[in-house]
Amino acid sequence: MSNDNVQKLKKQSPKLYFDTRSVRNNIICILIGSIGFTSVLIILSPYDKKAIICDIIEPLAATIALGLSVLVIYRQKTDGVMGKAYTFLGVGLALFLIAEIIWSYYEIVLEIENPFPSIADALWLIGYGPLLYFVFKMYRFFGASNSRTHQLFVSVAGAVLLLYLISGISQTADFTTQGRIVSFIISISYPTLDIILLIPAALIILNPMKGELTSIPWIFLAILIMSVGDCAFAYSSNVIALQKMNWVWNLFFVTSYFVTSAGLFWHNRFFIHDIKEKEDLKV
Amino acid sequence: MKNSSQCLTLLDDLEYFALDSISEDILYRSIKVSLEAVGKTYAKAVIDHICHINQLSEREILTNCELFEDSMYRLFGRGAQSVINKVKVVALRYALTEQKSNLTVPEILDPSLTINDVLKEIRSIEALDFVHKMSSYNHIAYLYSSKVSLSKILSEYFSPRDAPKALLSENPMDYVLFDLTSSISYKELFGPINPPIKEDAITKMRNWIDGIRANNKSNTSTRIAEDDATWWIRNGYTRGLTMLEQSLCKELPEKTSILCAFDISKLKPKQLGAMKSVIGSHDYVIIEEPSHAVYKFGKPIFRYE
Repeated sequence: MSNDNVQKLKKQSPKLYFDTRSVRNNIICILIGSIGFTSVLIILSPYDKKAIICDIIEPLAATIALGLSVLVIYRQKTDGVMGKAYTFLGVGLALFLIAEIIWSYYEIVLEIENPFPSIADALWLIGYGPLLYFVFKMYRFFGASNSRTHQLFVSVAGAVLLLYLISGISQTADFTTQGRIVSFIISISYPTLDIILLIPAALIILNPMKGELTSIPWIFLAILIMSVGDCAFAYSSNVIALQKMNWVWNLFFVTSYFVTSAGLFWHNRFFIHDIKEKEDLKV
Repeated sequence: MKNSSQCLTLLDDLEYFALDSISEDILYRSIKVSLEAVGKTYAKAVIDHICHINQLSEREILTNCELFEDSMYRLFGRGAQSVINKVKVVALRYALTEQKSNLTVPEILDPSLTINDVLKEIRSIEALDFVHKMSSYNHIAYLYSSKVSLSKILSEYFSPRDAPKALLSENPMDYVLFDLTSSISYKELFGPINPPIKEDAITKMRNWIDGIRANNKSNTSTRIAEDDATWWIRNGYTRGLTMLEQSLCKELPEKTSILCAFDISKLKPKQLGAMKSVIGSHDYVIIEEPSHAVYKFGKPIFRYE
């Protein structure tokens, strides 16, 4: 073997090294550190600065997730179940990132409160489509819980939560003009789509796969966190007493982006093998 | 099962080698296709992980169903089920297109059907095909534990229409539907005998074979079978059986095929150990368990002594 190939092999070895435990532990440490740091930053900042800090952190977290997603799509390509599912996830994350940037632009640059409904809302709602595709494809691929108890529990809990949120939003809704009706529809669209995402994600989490590569269902965990945060946000937005606490739900969104990034890093590390790399090794 | 593994060890010791089975190729292709349906780079990554954790080559892993399934479960836990199911479906599709499956629709639709069941079915069909198409001059041993499997093998063995067919059995009446030229019991052939079996019993046996061969006016080979040759061992005539098998090994009558079936479930481990030279006298050995496999005589140790 030539020196070049030995060098290549040395370079390859860590990539081929199968050590999920240490990678998982490192990811968890980095994740806890990142979430802890951003949470402390948001919590300790003065109340009037919290929104701005959130508006900076959220697009940044979304950018990290999208960056890793682009890397996954680039390396994995778009063929097969995984290729398509991760491409859709990437599209969803891209739409969410643009929505986050628009939202932050209004608040930081234009220094005006975001209108409702806004362009950001449109992008967020469209972004649910690719995310739903990803979740349902993975739900079918990895096989969610077949336990009737789990299915019944998650479905009933989801339906009750949705009814509760819609009734809460309806109480403060104003149906006098067409615009306000549209606003109401958009308001209830968020929790509805969240619950639709939450049900398969919860069923997958309730059916732990226990494999070395699937010990933590990262992206489903992220979707669960995002859905819970979003539902809570939708509820608190309609309760005047809780409106001052709306910044708290941003912690959920930031956490969700970080966990998504962890999932994408994991996928990138263990689920993609560059065909070219192996060919290069051939002497 | 314990007897089967002892027989496999015996075959190894005698340097028999398994004939290539299409089942391995079907499994390999099915796993590749199923994984690549998930994604080509994904397939590469999964195969690489599996090779790495087992320290084996891609070919070794993807032609071994248990290793593949175990590794998939280790990597993905329950999440492996979808890929494993897909492999089963693709393997079934290949088996059907290659005409290597007789599974019925309810059997195919049964969720408890495993990849191994599909592969076993392919190997069983291959063994039946081998017996059906065997050349005119072969001495084959069939090591079985199930009467159903024996029936299928004998049915294929005796399927050529023109050939004279004869069977030596403890209960010839069990085979009346086989349309045999001659079926005879040990009692009818040998009369009352006491161990140790004498030379004249072997001569009687050879004469019986020659008598059937003499009636063969067709171009096809005479097919003679013994449904359970463990009768000799169980009755203390192991030496006689060894002599007979070795004589057939040295001078197999022309245009004659002989199938010696052994119900190994009836034998004790010690009796199985004594079968080494009996098994070694056959050109081919077909073993039923763990899944049908045809073994070829690797090193002629008796015929050319």
